[in-house]
Amino acid sequence: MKKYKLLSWIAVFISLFLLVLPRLVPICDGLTKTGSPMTCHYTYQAEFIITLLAVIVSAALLVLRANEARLLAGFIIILLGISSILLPQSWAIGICENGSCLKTTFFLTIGAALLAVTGAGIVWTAWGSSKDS
Amino acid sequence: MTVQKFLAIAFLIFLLGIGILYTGVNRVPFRNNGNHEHHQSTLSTAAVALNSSRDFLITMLTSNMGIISENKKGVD
Repeated sequence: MKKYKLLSWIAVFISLFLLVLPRLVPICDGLTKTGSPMTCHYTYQAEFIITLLAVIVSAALLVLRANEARLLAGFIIILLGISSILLPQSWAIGICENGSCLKTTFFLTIGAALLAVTGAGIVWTAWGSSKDS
Repeated sequence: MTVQKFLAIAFLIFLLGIGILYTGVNRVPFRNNGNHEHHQSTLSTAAVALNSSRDFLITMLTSNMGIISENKKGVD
């Protein structure tokens, strides 16, 4: 049970970190020649919604009591982590080749991978507990 | 905390997040000039090319001068 609580708090902190990442490590702030924002802007707008959902689901882990609900929440966190990694790929939304965007994406990939691993840990813990009961 | 209470708070947080996204608080503000390209410099491509070629010429000239003066010393 202690392990589950620890993993839940880690997931909350990683999600919060990912949420404020574009403020800590900003993406490029330029516009295209037509005056519209670049691809990286849209990618990080989508990332914000995904990480906002990750914050809510991670916080839900601290409230949920039933093992099946915890299992599902952990699984959703894995999917959200994977989605966060995939969005900056060129075949999804993509980013521009600017140095600052690449830097933000580097930290995003590390954070999202850790979030997915934490989600896997939560699934593992809840899975074990559901087998015991 | 009950799940019902949590869901109500989570929904409010979600709405707050959408509001933040709408106002643009989640990101750094855009620069106002709309005619810049995919790099951080405020110079245009032509200006950057001009500056870099000028720097290259200066470096070449100064290094050649060093060689010339050393050669002169050798002759003397």
